[in-house]
Amino acid sequence: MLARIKVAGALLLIGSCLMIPALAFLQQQGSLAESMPEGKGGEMVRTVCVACHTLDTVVTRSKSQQSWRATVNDMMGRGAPLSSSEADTIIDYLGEHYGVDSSPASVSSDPPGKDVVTAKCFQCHGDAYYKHVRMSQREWEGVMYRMVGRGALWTEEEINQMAQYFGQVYGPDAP
Amino acid sequence: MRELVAQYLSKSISRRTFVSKLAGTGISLAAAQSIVESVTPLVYGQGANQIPPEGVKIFQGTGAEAFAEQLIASGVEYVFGNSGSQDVYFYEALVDRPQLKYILTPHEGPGAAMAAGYIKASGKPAMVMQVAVVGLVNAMGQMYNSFKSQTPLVFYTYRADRSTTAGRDGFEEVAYQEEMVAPITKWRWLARRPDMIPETVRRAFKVAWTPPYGPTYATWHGDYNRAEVRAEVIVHDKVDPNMRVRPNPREVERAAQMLVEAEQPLLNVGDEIYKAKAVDKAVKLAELLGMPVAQTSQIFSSFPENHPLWVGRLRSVGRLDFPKNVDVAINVGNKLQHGSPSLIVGRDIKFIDMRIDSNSMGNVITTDVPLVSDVAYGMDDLITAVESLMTPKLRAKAKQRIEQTRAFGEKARELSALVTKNPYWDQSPMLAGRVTYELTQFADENAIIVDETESAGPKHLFGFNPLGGREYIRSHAGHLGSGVGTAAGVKLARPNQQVICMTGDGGFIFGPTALWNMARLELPVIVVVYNNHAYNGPHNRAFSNLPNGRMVETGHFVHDYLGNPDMDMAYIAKGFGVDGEVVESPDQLKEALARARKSTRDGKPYLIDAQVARPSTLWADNPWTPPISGAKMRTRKV
Repeated sequence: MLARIKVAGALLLIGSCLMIPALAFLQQQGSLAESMPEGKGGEMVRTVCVACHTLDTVVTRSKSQQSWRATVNDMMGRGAPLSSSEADTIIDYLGEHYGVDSSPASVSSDPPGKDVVTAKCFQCHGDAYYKHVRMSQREWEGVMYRMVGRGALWTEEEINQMAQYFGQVYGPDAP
Repeated sequence: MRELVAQYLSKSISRRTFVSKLAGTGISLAAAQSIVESVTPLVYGQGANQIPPEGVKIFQGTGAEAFAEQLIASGVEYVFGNSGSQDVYFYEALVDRPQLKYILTPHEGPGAAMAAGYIKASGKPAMVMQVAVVGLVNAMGQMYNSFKSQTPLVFYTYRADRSTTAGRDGFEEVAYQEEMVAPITKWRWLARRPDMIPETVRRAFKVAWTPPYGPTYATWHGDYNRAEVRAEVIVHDKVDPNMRVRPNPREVERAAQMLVEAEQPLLNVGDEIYKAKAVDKAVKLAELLGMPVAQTSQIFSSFPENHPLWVGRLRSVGRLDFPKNVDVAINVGNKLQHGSPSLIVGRDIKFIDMRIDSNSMGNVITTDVPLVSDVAYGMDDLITAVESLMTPKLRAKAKQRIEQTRAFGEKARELSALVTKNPYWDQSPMLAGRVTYELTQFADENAIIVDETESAGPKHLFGFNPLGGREYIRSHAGHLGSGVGTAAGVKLARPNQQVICMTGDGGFIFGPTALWNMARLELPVIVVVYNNHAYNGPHNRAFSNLPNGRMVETGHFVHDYLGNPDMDMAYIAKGFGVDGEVVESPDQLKEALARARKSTRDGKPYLIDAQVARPSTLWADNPWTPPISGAKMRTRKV
């Protein structure tokens, strides 16, 4: 009997340990949901989009209406169950509240060059390819030019901005 | 006797019964045979009056001889094989049939790749002939490549079990051998009788070469090859119907209307255009509408990349640098294989799909107008329909789009040229992109590039142009070890064009035996091995997928480092009779390429082992290797 109680206690402890970060995560997502402006589109974002990914991947971004349309179309291609009119509702909502003129809190503090990185690198791949790599600015510059070799059409100025950004955020001493 | 002949002519009695009954009437056996010989062609000719007499012939001999006769009748010039004991009757049949040539390949995989390369570059049929089930399994990698790339490659291997002893689990016997290839062939068949060998072979070629193309497999018991047979041999080009299909005219009209009403149309091209020799029609269609052209990657390059309407590779329409705001997209002949969940053509774009491969149409992308057709016929009809709708206003709009696309192309070329500004451009070992760049500067204007590499840099700087310029042939659809073999086959098909094979060290080492074929058959190909002594892709995936994993933490990557000791590909080449060298710097590479050019002009292949960097800090200078040592395991030094 005592052994059973010990096991049950241990399971509770493990469960609690797992629950704490989970609860923190839910709290974060909950506060993000609360911070979203009212609107039918917002309601749909909170119900349809979160079936596959978290809210922060939506509400911390700023894009043009056209860019949001491309994103939503992409999501529909990946299986998001939306009719055309529902997609339009979401696109209008995101374009209005998370458009290029909007300023989500996380964007304003970003180092220079992030907007170029977001616009250029995400055309082909996500951040998993680079976010765990640590290199000098010169090495990052080499990476940018290798991407040019693969067909990326970037100006020297854009390459320099991106290399500078990566050198700062993903430099040798970055955590 | 008249009644007997009538029965035989109407196929009411068999040949054997006919002879037997003739003999029963009192005539000699020899005379009976003579009557049979004179009557038989009438039997086989009945009911097929439209077939020219020379299209069908009756052949009598061994099963293997009938096999050879049908291959000749199917238009085959080369058989790529690895020798097997029960095919000896076939080899015997070749001695007096010099028009059918046997190419001995030391390994089935590169041998099949050589056949595939020959077909891709010549558009002619070829046969892969391997040894029973044991040879078949080695060739199946290339069978897979052929299936995925829709290459009409015909495979044959015999069954090692004799027809009289099958089912006893004998040597090399596997039940349902032909079913092993089911998911990666269009058709496979076990001939049930020796006299069905030519029929089976003919059908294998007919199915493989009926669009959409794909590999087929024929098999029979090995003892059938020595059996005496009497059978029809059918000449393909005189008998088999033309199966090229024209599109539905009403759908053509709908597509034309949609295209002329489009604000920003886009054309995506694919392999069916190259295979149908219809690149000029694609150019005409694009120019008529002022329609930018892109290509989702496939085996061939199917549009002139120096054309003002060319905008580059297409991963998805939404990701194109230009044009933006595409409202109508037309795909002609591209299989549109999705490598990611993202749609190549989004659902907000009207989509016209023209292909003969109707099975793969509409699977993923919603299609507004399906045009099932041979793309050459389809584009002919579509061009006619569009021309009938064009007004001066529409022509002006098309011209404006051409100028906008031309401006983008000029800017794109300018930005692509920045690749040389890489701060590591001159380093040694070299950037893979530097090696490719040097090849773009070196290659002849009508060179054929056979490609087995993945991320090897600025291939777009070759400026491929299937209308008389440089041509691109990808050697595989994922199964590696095909580059060298494919290049050998391409050179066999196109001896008057420079052939350059680009391959990585990983791919090369899967299939170097075709170098021996290059040396023996005097196929002067330049092989460039991008040698970074590693599997780069799997290494990068370990970082991107498991960034906090134990491999990253400890540096113990068990799966990706091919060094310690480093493989010397030039040394391997010398073992196969091909001269070559190792180069480490761009200057050495340029000098080596000059030597390669001289060698090939002298009729000899040449291999360059280009030492390529493993860029970024993802790689340690001295990568870890597992501490496994047989020598240290010993308790006796033997």
